[in-house]
Amino acid sequence: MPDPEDDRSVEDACRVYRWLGHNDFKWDYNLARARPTSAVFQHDEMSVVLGDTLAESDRQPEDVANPCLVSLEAGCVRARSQTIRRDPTEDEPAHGLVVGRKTGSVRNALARCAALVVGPDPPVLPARV
Amino acid sequence: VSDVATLPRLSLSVPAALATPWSAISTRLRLPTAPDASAIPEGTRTLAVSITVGGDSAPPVSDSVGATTVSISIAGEITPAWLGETVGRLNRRASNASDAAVVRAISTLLDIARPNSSPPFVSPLDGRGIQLEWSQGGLDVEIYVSGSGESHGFVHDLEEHTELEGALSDVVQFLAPRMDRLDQGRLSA
Repeated sequence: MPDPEDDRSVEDACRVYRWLGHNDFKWDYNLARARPTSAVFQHDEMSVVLGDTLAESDRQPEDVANPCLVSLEAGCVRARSQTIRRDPTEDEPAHGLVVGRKTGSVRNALARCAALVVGPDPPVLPARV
Repeated sequence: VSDVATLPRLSLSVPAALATPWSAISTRLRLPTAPDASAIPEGTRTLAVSITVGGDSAPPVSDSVGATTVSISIAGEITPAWLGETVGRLNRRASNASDAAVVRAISTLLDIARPNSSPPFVSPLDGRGIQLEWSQGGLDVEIYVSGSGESHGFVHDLEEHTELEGALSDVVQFLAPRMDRLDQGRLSA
């Protein structure tokens, strides 16, 4: 049964964007790529920018990077027992919220499925061993 | 590098919630004796600890834990190497962490890591907490330490498709037979 708090007008294929700092990325040796630390997904009410609203205003995801940006697919977020809400603000009409309890399992899953849009500078590389 | 012998020393005030785990850890972490409070700069609390790992005494570590910043200096070379690196990362990345979180994070590492382990990635958490994490050897390991020093963890074994989230003792038990993978993970990645 759909969660009444989940705004289904945000389709599963929609990308939701979360801005991050340069220091929020680590090298994941399992994925063999840089990814955000799961700590950036700790908040039960997590601010995001909704890709569909962004597109309606002819803005590019890179426009909301501050300074870095990752994207998640709405369907991937919902698969982790999270709901998505539109929450436009004066500063950001595409603002939204990903709401739900962020257990370690949820945080980790979100971090692993996050795609880099604007990466950190300098890029994160594996440590020399 | 400071001469740790000349630094003011302070016994760390450990919250009651940490008392039992800390007692167990104190066999390896020996806290110094009485502080000279007058010698401690305002806004800074200093402690000096001696660390013994695997039966060998390491050189002393001096930790200055400020009210708003964490500044930890190391006197001498620390063995194992990951401990010194982790202290540096705590300084740089979790400077607002509480005393209790810093103590618990370091003591947790002493429980989990081995001499050849790699240092964890360190992130700040809300409420002056700390997150420690490794992603290597087919394992994702995350340790969450709250500002009050409470901790729990999450382990995802990507090879066996199993997850565990719970008390630190459960995480340590789950990791024990997998530590070789965690220690060697960077080399094979």
